[in-house]
Amino acid sequence: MIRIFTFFCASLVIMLAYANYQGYVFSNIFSSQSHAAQSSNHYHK
Amino acid sequence: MAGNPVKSFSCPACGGIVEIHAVGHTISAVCAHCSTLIDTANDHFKIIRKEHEASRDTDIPIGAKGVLDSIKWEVIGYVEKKDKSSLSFWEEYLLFNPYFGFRFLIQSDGHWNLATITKRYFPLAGSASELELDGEKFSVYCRGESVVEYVKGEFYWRVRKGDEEKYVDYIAPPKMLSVEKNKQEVTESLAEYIEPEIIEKAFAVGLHGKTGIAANQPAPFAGKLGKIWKIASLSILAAFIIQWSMGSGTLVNNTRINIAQNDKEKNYSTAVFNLPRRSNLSVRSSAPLSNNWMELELSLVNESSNETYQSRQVIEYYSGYEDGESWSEGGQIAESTFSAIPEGNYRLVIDPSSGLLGSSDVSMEIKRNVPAWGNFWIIFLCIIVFPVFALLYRWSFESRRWENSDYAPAIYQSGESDD
Amino acid sequence: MKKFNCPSCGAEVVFNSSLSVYAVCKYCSSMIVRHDLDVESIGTMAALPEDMSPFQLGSEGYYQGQHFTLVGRMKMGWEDGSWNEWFMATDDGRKGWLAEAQGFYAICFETDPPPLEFAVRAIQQQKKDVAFLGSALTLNNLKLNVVDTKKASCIGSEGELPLVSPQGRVTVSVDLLGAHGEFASVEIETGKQRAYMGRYVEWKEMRCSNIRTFDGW
Repeated sequence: MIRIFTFFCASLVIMLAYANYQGYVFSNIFSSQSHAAQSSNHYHK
Repeated sequence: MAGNPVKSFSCPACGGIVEIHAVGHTISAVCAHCSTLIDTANDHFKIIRKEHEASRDTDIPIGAKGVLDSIKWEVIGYVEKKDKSSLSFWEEYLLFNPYFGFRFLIQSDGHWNLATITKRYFPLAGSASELELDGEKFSVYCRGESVVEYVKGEFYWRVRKGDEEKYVDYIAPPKMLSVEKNKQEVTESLAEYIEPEIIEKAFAVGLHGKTGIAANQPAPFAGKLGKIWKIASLSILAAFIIQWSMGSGTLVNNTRINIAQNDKEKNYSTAVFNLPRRSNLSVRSSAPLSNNWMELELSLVNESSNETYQSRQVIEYYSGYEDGESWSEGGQIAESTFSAIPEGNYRLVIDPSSGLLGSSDVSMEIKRNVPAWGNFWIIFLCIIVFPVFALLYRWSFESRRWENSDYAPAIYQSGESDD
Repeated sequence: MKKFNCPSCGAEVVFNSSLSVYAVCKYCSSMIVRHDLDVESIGTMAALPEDMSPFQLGSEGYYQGQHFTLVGRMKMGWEDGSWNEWFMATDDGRKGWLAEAQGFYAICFETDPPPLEFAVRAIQQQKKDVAFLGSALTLNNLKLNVVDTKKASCIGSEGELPLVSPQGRVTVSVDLLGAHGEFASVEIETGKQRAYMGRYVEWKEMRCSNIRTFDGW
């Protein structure tokens, strides 16, 4: 079980490195458009 | 020099044949036919207690042989005990091997323990709240008084129905240290939790299922919880360093556009800029609006393939002064990030609309390879899910373990008092 | 090693250990006491009751790296059972015993006895309920506590022994235990105390050979 978890964590860290290098933004995957960007408006109150 | 180790004699009460399997050790034997208890410390075979009942069946039959931990054991005795206050029952099976001596298999609520007498002197055995054995600390779990309800088979000590003794159990799961005191002596025994499947396989019997959680039942993720959190922490640290090393991004274009009210159909385009490798692209737009709104439809166009990526930004800002307080709503900045744009030459096409009566400038800053901290946080959540689950599961298990104890550590106390 | 002829039947009686002063003739069961130059018979030993001791005369084993051979045995009986004390012949000439009782094995060597008042209290405890159990005793700089006392008598003996042990010899036997499995035993006989110190040992660690085997085991 420890081995599986270690492998799981290592995979996530490697995936993060690769994704960042290739410019993937994970949160964009959750928006419905694929060829689009995530937008945010900076609000202050 | 082999020999038949069984000794037989006639029961002084009923005449039936009584067999002794631990010759030289056994001093109390129960006749299998009439349940009379006989003194076998000598060959006089005096009756200790006469009974007239047929013997009870036990889950593991007397005489059964099985291998546990590479040692062959024979079940020679059985005692059923009851706690005088809680009235809970448990069973103790006496195991014998002529070379390795004796062991006890203890069953309570379907949970099993394999116990050995420990030959150590414990100065405060029974009164202490903690005992130490070979560097391991055992915490008090329960104190009680037991009474023998039924005996079967043979024993190397004096035991009979009605015998009472005080006991204190100390736990260091999966082990338990029990101290038993009667008028003649004090006995300490060390038990280790054993799964019923191992016993079923060793003695070829079927056993009942478990109910509840036993005092020294091993906790889920026993010995592993620390490692799991260590691995998770190291991974999160590594992820943090990776994210941090992304830097702050590289500027590829800076544009200022003047947008007027009636520019509805007009499009603006930035100059062409190059992405040397696949990267993310961030567009940061700011406009000094006052009580107005602006909407920008962005299209990122690849010069050679004409592949287009879309985004929509809204900038709106309202403010005022009312009842002596100033208020504001909205913001003057909007930001979009494009994900994994392939390498190549691009320009950004802007299609604006606004509620402006006059005109306003909007500054747009385009950067590539910006740090997307959202990535880190998503990985963080994925890593932390299992360790948090393991911790909560362990905490819940330990709370249930200590439910039946009067000595629960503060963090596991349910807050209910015992009667 | 000294050899004599049994005064009753003439068979050869061997004293393997220089410490042995008593032996039971293998052939006629005469109890033989050894004096400097000759031997004397003091009676006949009745047959020992059967038991499932894994040991027999000639069994060998190891304790703390030293090899030992069991050359004699005393069977002691008391109100609630019996136990065996095996006389160990070791190379270094110490008087060693291997006691087996209730599936436990303890190896101990003779040591200086405790002060006489220890024996007095032990005997008193036999007669009335004096709180002797649990009392502390320091032997050879080791702190021990009394865990058991019993009045015992010799049921029988075989082989050779460093003391004369006829049937019926009565003693008060006191067992002491230390916090780490250290074991001591004080045997009190009219006028004398004998003390032994050692520890409990596991079957596996003794690596015994020439042991008894049983059907089905």
